[in-house]
Amino acid sequence: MPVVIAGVRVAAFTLLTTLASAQSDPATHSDWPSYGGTHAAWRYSALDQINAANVKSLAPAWVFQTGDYDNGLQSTPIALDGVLYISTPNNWAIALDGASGKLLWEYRYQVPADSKPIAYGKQNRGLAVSHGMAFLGTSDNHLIGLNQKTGEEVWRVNIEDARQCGCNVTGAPLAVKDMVVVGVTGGDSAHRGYLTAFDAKTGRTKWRFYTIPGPGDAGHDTWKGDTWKYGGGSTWMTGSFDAELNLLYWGVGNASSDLEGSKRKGDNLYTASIVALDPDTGKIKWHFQEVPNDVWDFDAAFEQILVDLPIGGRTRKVMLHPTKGGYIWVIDRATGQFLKAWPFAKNINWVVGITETGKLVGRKEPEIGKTTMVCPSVVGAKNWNQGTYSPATGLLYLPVQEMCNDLIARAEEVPEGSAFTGGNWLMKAPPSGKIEGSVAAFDAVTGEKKWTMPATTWIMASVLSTAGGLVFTGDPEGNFFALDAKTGKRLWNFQTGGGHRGSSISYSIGGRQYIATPSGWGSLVGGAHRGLFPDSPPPRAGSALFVFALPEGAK
Amino acid sequence: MKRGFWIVMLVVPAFAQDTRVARGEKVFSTACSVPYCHGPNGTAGRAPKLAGHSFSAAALTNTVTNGIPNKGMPAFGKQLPADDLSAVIAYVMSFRGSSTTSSAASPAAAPQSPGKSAFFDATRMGGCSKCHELEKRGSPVASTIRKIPADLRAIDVDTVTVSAAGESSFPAIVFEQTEKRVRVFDLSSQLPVLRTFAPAVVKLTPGSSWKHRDAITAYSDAELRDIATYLQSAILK
Repeated sequence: MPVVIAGVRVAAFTLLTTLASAQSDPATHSDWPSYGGTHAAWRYSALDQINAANVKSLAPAWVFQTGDYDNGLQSTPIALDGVLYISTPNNWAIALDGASGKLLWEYRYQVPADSKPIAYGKQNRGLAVSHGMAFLGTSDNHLIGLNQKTGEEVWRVNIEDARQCGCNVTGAPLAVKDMVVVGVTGGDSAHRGYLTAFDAKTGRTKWRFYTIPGPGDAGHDTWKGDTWKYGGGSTWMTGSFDAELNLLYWGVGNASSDLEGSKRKGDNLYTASIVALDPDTGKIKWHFQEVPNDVWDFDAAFEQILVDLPIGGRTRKVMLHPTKGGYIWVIDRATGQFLKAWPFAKNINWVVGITETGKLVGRKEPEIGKTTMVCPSVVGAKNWNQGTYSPATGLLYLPVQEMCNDLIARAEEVPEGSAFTGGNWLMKAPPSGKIEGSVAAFDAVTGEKKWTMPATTWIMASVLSTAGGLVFTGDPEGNFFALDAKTGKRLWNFQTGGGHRGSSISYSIGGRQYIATPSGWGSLVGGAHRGLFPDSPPPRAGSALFVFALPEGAK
Repeated sequence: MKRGFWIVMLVVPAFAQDTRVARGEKVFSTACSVPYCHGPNGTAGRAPKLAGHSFSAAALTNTVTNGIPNKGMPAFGKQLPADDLSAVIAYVMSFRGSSTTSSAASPAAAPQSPGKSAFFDATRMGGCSKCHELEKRGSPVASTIRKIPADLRAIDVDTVTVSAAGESSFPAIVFEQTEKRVRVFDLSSQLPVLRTFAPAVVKLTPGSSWKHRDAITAYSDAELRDIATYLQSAILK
């Protein structure tokens, strides 16, 4: 039996390697070099040693307990040359031997004692690694360059005093060319958002792109009066990069105050937009705004999946962009041209639809002092936890939540650097009466739903797909599981003991494929679980990295 | 009979309270902690931390029911049923003494002087606060400001020139110099970088080409006058 498996593996591996090299390798192989897998953010591994036929034998190879049990484990591990790099909510960076789980080094950043409570919570979604350096963003808004081999600090820079801006780093930095690019939170504070690039070796500032144009810049006139100074537009998640087009893509967050837009009448560029930047200068090349004058906190911050798809009779370089509002936006990534948008959630009422040119129709605007029931909720039809695209099936796999909220908008004065939400949210079930979560598979070209795997409660972990015909993710109840990529059938399950709010990856060392997943519930949104699912046991906290492989003999 | 009466008096209210706290926890998690405000179990998101704090029932009821105008706290009296309202108050009251962590004072929203606004200007990168900490804001790259010269451009800063292996020399402020390591703030970057070197690979020479005037070109004369006025008042505090 092992002999047959090995034979299949080699054949498929060769084919995939050939395909991958023809399309500048958006799949991962032995490494998992970047937050989204590669800069194309597919979260798809070309490894197929673990596959639908043998996944039932998948077993733990090792487990690492981080020791930082403050707020779960959200980190996407980076895997390079047999070493895994992870981060934790209290700003610890950790390097582990990928085969044994042995600790290679650990770095613990000390937040100054006089810092105020950390805005946007202590959460850290991962490191970037390049140029012999590992990069850690911190909960008090620093970026730190560490020696990749030893974990020793080489440089650190205060991006902006967190006490002043009310912003911090929760997303993973992105290594691009000779730089590291990092976004910050702050979109629900009175704050002007930005993205900053630093030289990888020295930490010196390369450029800063303000997501809200200043006086004299194109787009500044989409803001009234001084509102541009406090208009949000955070960059809290991680972008993508197309080396051939030399374009850096980043999703920009909501406008602030979140729910009350009357003082900032206008489109409010570049909030709730995708921006494409020249990575060498930080200058904007194009933008596409999904939600002009956002009043629902419908970020455009989530992953941009860069894929070439047949659309309108020819292959186009597109980005698939899932958003809180429940639509996949399909955008030409060379030009920023809107191609189409298709819904991936059932409960959508904030708009009636989207036109062929990408305009919102039938906006349901919150009114000051009144309650407006809006679907999806502010948590999103999908939260930051990422989907995955598999070229083997042509399907896009997403974590989907059917949930709504009551919005109550309120006029607020500007509290610089502090929360500036312009109202509040009360989470509630959709009209059907039940909050539902699932993993769902969609045809990436047509948007047709192929299958749904209902969750016990909801799915707040990222999804991983592999050339082994498998889709992996985890649930708040602690299960980490493998689904058949074609049918959604659950083929394997392992109880890790902690809720899943992170991002699993795959890598290989010495010909052995591994699947790694963080385990341990946490996060601001995760705190809602008990209220949303009062009849379910609360998810277990924790902070462990579980790594699985086939038994040695089965290789 | 009498004994049975006392058991009822003691046990039932305690049980009822537990039930209300449990219900309050659920209300809190859907209305107060999500998505941004007080965080899971009141451990703070963007709004103040509630965990570990003591509140008087009257004040808490008033705040939860009527909100705090212009401070972001909604009037939940209009949003939640009375039962949920009392349950969530019971839940927040249960935080009392649950933790010893320090207070989460929300930042002052007091109107700022023009000089203070310019000093802490977050809408441009070249502001004073990237190097100076004052009133618990900004980055402490430079030493504490103790006196205000007439001309802010002409300030003399104690810098060094750093020669490190494999790169051009650069101006810096020394942060730490021991046998084990040398740490300097690299001033050649728009945002100062705290860089760490092994003593063997780096040489520090007193003085550099760096000038304070070159670091504050983002400001006009009028802004610098406002900043000087603000600094006087801040130091007098």
